[in-house]
Amino acid sequence: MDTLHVTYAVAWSAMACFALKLAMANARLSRRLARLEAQARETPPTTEPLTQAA
Amino acid sequence: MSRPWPVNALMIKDPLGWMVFSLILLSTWLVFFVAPTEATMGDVQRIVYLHVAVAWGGLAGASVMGCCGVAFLIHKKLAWDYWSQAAGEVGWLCATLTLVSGSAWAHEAWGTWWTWEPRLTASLVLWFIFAGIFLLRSAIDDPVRRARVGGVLALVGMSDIPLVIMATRWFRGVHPVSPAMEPRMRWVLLVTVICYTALFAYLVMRRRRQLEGMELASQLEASAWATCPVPHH
Repeated sequence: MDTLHVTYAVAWSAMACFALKLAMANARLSRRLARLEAQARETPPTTEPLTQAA
Repeated sequence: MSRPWPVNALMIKDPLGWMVFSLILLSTWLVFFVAPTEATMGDVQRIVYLHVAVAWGGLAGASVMGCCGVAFLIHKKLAWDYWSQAAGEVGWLCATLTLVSGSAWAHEAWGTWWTWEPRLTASLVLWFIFAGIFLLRSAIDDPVRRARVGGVLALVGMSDIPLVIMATRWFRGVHPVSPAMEPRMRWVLLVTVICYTALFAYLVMRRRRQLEGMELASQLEASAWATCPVPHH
């Protein structure tokens, strides 16, 4: 391994890590949004005013 | 309720992502198999193709971050801050790789990993500006305040961009200004810069969309909490 190949390997690894981190965070976010949407569909809207509930 | 976010958001299923990946493969093939070997430095000169591409990405990232920061300060819309943050993060990655690849090239060309040369110093300052902005942003919870502070700092940070670009002309240094290149080398350099720009633009778009999605999730959570039925005892 010489300087040229090490430099390209480091650069591609850094870019790949950034993309991978982004993809994993996207997947987590998608699950979170899907769960929230499902909750919003299942939970009936409350009839009590918030001040009364508090 | 319309679904603003796909459930399967992994980039592996994104055709645009594969297109960008193909462009990077194309540029790699051009750099290693099409570009001629430089007479003085030999193969190691091929670092220049990557170095110029990431340096351009860093400067473009800082410019977009600054411009979107200003747009937020004028229009007060968080959407501009998402662009600013996304461009800044990708720009920071590029600025880091500029320093790394430049250092490797300098070691082969000048026999030293680092020298306090005007362009190198201005590039390091840009890296610290990026770092400072993100450090400060991470310490602020309120998204509007964070965007305001980020916008002002990004605007201040933009002042370093002309210094990085013009450092080789304004000050006496050892960094090459615009070295003469064989036409085939110039073409490979141009295509490589375009391919990497496509990758950086793609990453910025994905990150911006993610930031938008995170804000949406926070709003949904807040509204779910507000409409949550209260248990009666």
